[in-house]
Amino acid sequence: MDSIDTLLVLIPGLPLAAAITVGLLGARVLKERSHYPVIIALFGSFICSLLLLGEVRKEGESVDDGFEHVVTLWNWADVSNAYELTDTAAADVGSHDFHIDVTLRADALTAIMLSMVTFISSLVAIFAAGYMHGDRGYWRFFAYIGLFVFSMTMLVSVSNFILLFVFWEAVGVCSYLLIGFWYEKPEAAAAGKKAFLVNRVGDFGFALALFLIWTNYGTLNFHDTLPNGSTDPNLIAQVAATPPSEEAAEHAKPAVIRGVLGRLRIATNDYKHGNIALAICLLLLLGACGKSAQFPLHVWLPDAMEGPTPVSALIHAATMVTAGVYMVTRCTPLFMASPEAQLTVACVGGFTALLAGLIALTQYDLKRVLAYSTVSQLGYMFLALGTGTVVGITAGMFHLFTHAFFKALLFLGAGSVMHAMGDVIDMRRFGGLRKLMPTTHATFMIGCLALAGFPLLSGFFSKDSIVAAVEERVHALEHEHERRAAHPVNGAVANDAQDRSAEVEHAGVFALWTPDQLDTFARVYKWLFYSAMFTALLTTFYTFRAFYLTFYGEEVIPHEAGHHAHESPRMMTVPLVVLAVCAAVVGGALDQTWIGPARTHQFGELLLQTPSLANGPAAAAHDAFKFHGKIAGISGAIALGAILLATYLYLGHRREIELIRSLMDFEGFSRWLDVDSVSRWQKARWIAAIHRGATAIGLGWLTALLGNIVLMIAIVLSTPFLLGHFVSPYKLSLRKFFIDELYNFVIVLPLRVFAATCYLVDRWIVDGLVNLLGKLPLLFGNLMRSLQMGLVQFYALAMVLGVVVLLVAKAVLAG
Amino acid sequence: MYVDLDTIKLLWPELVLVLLATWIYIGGTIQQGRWWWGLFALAAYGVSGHAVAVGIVEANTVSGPLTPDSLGYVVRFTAIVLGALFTLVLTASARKELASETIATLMLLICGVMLVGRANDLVFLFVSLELVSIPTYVLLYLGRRDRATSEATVKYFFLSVLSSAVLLYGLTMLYGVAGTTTLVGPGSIQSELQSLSVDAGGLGSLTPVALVLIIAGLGFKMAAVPFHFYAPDVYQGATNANAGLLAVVPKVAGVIALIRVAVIAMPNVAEFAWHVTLVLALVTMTIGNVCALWQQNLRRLMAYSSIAHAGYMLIGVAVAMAMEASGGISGTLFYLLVYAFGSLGMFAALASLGSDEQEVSRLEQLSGLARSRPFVAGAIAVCMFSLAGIPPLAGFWGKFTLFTGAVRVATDSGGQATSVWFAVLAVGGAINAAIAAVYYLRVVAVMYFQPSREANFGTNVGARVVMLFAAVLVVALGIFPRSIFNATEHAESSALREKVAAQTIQRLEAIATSQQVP
Amino acid sequence: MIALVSVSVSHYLVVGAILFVTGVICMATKRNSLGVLMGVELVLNGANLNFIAFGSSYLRANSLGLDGQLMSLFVIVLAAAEAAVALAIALNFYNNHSTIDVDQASDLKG
Repeated sequence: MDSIDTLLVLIPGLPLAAAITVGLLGARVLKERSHYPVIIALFGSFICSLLLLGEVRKEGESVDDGFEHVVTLWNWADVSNAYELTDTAAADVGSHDFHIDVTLRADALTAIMLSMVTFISSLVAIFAAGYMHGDRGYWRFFAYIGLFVFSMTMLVSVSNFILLFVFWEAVGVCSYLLIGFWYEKPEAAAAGKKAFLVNRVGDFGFALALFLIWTNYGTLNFHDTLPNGSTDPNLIAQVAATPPSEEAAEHAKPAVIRGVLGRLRIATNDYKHGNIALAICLLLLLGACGKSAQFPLHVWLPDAMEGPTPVSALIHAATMVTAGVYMVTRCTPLFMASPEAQLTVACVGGFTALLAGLIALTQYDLKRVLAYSTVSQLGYMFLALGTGTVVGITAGMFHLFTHAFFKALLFLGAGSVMHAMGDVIDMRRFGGLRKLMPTTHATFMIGCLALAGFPLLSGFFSKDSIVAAVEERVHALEHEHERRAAHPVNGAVANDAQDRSAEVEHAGVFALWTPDQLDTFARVYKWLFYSAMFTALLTTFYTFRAFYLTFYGEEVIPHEAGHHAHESPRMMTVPLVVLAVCAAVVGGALDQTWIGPARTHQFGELLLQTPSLANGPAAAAHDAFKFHGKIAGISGAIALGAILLATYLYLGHRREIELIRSLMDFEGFSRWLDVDSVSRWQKARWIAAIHRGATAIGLGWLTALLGNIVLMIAIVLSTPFLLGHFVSPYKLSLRKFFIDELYNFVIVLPLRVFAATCYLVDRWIVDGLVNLLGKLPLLFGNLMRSLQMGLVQFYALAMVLGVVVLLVAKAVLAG
Repeated sequence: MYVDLDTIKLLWPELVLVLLATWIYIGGTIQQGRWWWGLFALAAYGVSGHAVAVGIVEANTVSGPLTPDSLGYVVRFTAIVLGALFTLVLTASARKELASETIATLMLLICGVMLVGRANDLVFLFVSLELVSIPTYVLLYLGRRDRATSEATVKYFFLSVLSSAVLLYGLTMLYGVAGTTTLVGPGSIQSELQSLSVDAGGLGSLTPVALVLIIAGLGFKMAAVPFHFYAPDVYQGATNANAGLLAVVPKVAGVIALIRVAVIAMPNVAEFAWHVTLVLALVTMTIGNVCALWQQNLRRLMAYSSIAHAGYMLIGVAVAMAMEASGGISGTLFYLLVYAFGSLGMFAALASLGSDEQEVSRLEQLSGLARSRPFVAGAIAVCMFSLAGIPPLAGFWGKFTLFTGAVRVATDSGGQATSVWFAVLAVGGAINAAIAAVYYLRVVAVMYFQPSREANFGTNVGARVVMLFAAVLVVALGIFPRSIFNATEHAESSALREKVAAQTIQRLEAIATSQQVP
Repeated sequence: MIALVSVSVSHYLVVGAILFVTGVICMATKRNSLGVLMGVELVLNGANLNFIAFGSSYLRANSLGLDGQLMSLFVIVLAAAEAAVALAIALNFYNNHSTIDVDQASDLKG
């Protein structure tokens, strides 16, 4: 256990130490060597994380209900009787004490996240040492990276909602600093600001959720503690087993403070239900949407690509943006208490995945395509979490894990391209780089295949398991619905306690659901399933579109590239290769169910050692991991088909795709129905001839009438198409469904107008008054100054007069 | 009340200064040279300071016209430190042939302040105050011989003599009413006046007249409105070193004398006294601050600043008058110290920039000083910030204690009217602090944000040492104000203890006589 | 003699006050600095008279000792010292202004 303590402290400690070192010494001493401390520290953290993972795995195998170990570092806040509740009926809120310890926890979920974060960040740091070479803020960059990894590792290893929130904000600050790293660029500064502000909306929800949790559960700790702050599991079990004495009961303070995600609470599944649970979960989801860029708060992530590309890879693709997914996974027991919230999570995820996929189809900025792809994949993860089954949650976390590898790979590949192209990222301005950058090309291709879900690459397994989880969910719901229809007596929510327990035994997690709910949910999940399938197609297509535009076709190199236009240095390609290997094999290696039923889903088994997943409500929904041949076949076929389609459309001449584009943009229609072109018809020879003929026989009015009718029809018909010209499917996708514009118009503009009004009022009315007030002393001073006339006799007289005035005042006042 | 050998022993520190000053006057005719006599004077201050420190042990012996309370010790130590610092400034900036006279005269002046600090007798107090005044005339006269200086000297002389006469006239009344010249103790003015009603007619009705005349006479020393008129003209006409002296030393003497006479010894007019003081405080700080807004001459600016600070000090005096043991005396003392070192630092910095040909007097001469003389600019900035009362410098704590004192009286005194008066005082003080910040920060802005101009500044080492010392002290007092607070609080309780003790003895005597009668 | 007997402290105080006021008026109206100095002397002597009157054993039932007389002696000495300084100052003023009229000293103002 002691080694776990040490490792838990070392993992965030090393990057922090490196960040401080670089921050203090970077500008003067380290300069161009600033990356060494950070890379060494990150690599050290990675080793520690692996050791921790090993320890956790070993410990976890020996216990049934999951393994967790909590380290208390120091007490942060201790407010006795923080508030008094009139309703002390709820045992949990009886404690009243606001007691916040700085605690770190080790469990499977944390260990997995730690390993992933430190591994990716080590590789990105190595890559960045090459990529950022020669930048003015070289040391600053690495100090930020160290700080970020510290915050991120703390985020996933703290055992308290308050601290989670603190580091949630800390990674947000790092993200803000790194997006605006090139703060001289106005776009970068604006993007940083946008990310920060949009995240505030989510944080607002998160904070409200914390308040609700505090008032409803009486603590913000994940784990159980004794009132003195001890977290020793044996001691807690002992205290929990002894019945409370009379005195203690009167004292109204429980002997054990049951953490929100503590063993004691999970074991008894003592969670709030109904509207409170829904409110907590939706507010948490709002927070997660902000950080993980889910609709409607997804708008900041594509703009965040203004930051240096390694940052995009590390923070805005692989690690930080998955914090929301991590948080929702961590809070699984809370979400299990509210099926509506789960459905919301799934819908938000599914919708975001589809929306971002559609937008990614038409973007020309390589990094933006990848950014929308990230948003889309995060949507997948949320969709998986929203199924509310252990298989689904595992699938979501598994996708998070594999996605980190191939998305980091793709971004670093994009970074490599940018590096070579002199920071040009518009895909229309370069192309055919296959020969020029062979390593980048090869690794990028592996990344694309993994993202597309090409069979046997890692994305294939994780995405497949998500789709399968959704499908299973649909099946389970439909099955239950049918069962209820067949046995209507047992179907309704039983009032009798005995019936109810029997029902629970029979219906499992669905015990408390009404048939209507079952039916509705089943239908929604079914739609989400189709949507996910379609999104998989989109994903593959836009990925390969970007791939072909960048690496195939005619070789085009922008003039900014200069002499840089060659393969990136070793320092940058090595991380690419490592990541490519991981992206290729990690999925198949950790989920071996595809080899045969005898093999296990190792990732899932490990993840399920997390107490909140191993026990309680989540475990009740546990189903064995298995390989879904049918789904795998379908999605494999989709991936292959989409790849072929993209290959057909983008390789060689791109005539067809232009046609599709113009079709989608209603170009042809509008030309046909354009009023001008209709009026030009009368100049056409044969029409003119007919008209002349008709005029000759005195029927000129008829042809003129006909012509005008045709014109009228054209005008009427063209109106929707004219409108459609602005909102054609192509334009919608290209302009990101006008969501930014919508936000600007609905939120930003009114706020700006309001702010401008306030400014004007402040400037002219308030300031005017204040300035007037400020002038008074000056005027008074000038008046008084004129008394100082320089005559000594006058001064003497003034002194004596002063005395006289005081004496007269006394005489008058005395009466 | 008699004088014996113990009194002489108690006076030893002051006697040292007088004797050595005489020695310098005589020796100066034989041996010329600045540093020779400057170092001699520093040694004299050292001896005197040592004597004061040794004297603390026998502090409980009351003897003759001297009071041994720790208020006196605070004043004497302050005076000695100020004397040593001004000696450094003056030694380096005085003309060579006049250096010894200047230094010796300063020494007498400091001796006068020390005596004021412990005077318990009207005669003694008045003579001590004259020992402050007359050397000041001489110093002003010695500073420079040009048109402006002679005008300043004449103005200061006549107005100061008038103020002395007014003070003396007030003291005669006090003497007449009480029938004694002792301030505090058994059978003193304080105990006589304790039971004397102001409104009953007879001699008692002269007490308010005496009070007004005394406030007028001492108000001149403090530069309180309407006795402030001399200050801007005289400061402007004097040298930087002399202006610093005028801004600091007479003010110390005036405030201490005011505390000794008007606050402690005149209990029967306290009600009237705090009304007068409060109004004077408000008027003084307001006029000082608003007039300073217009000034371009640095010494004139500092003169108005000095007037404004006199107003702040009067807040503490009013608080002390309105409520016994309210921390008013302590706050005033603390403020006095803080002001003294802030002002001293500023004037020393100005003196250090002056050369034989040219003296720094106008604000624009400081423009860009932060680049040409960063240390001097930093010291001036520290002093300005402290005088403006910006935390965490000493000036902040000074204003803080004074304002909280006023607020305390406003909340704790039973009377409705008193509360309103002191609330107005506290608010007025706060508004004034805001106005004052404008011209202090203007000085800083000129130094830091205006382009540097060609100027051949001098390098007056003595003044520079003093400037740095004062700046460091201002910062240190801002960070650790507690040590000085302890001293001033002890001084207050000690000064009031004499009063309380006297009251007790009187009461005991009354009991004894009443018992003897039957 | 009845008139003499009825002379009391307050009579002296009135004379002292008249001296004081006269001195102040003299200071305020005289242009010549020696004239102003004379006004100062008048003021000081008004105060002296007060001291003597208050301290006199002839005018008061209970004698107050010699403090008052002592004080006036001190004041006389101080006045002499001040006169000496005043002469030096006046001389300096004359050197710079070629006059000893103090109303010429109004360069410093504002």
